Amino acid sequence: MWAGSLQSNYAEAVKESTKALELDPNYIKALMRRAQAQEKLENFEDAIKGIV
Amino acid sequence: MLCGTYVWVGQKALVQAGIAKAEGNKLYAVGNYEEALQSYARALESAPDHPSSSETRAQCYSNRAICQIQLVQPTLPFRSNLPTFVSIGCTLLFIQDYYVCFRRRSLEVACLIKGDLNCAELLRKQESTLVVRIMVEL
Repeated sequence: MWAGSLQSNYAEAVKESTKALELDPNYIKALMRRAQAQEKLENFEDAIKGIV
Repeated sequence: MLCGTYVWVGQKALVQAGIAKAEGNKLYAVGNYEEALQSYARALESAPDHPSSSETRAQCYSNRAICQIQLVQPTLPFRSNLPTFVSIGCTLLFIQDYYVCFRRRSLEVACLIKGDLNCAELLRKQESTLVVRIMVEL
C-alpha cells in the first residue's frame, strides 16, 4: 500500500465518523475514531478540538 | 391505516438493517474489514431515514470508520499503529506519555509557585495534547 492510499482510508474514516456524529453528537466511539483518524492525517488541531 | 403500514414497513427495514449490521460485526471480528464495510453499507441502505433508526445508522457509520482505520493498520506492523491493548510497545509508549504528562504537571505547579503564568499556561497546553494522545491510543 502506498502512502496516498493510507491517507484516503483515514480521510474516509473521518467522513464516516462525522456522519455518525451528525446523527448522535455525543457518540463517544465515533468521536474517538474521528480523532484517531485525524491524528494519523496529522490534523492535530482538529483531533484535539473534537474531544476536548 | 396508511400510517400504520408505513411504520410496519419501516420496522421491517430496520430489522433487515440490524441483520446486515450483525453480519458486519461478525466479519469485523474475524478481521475481514473489506467485507464488513460492505455489510455496513447494506445495513445503511436498508435502514429507513427515520429517527427510530438513527442509532443503528450512527453505529454503522462509526463501524465503517473503524474498518477504514483497521484496513491501514496491518500494513505497518512495526509502528505504533498497532492497537495499544495487544502491543507491549504501545503500552510502554503510553506509560512514557503518562510519565511525561506527570512531569509537565509538576513543572506547571513549580511555575505557578514561582508566578510564571505564561510558562504554566504553555505547559498546560502541552499536557492537554498529551492527554489527547493517550486517550486516542486507548
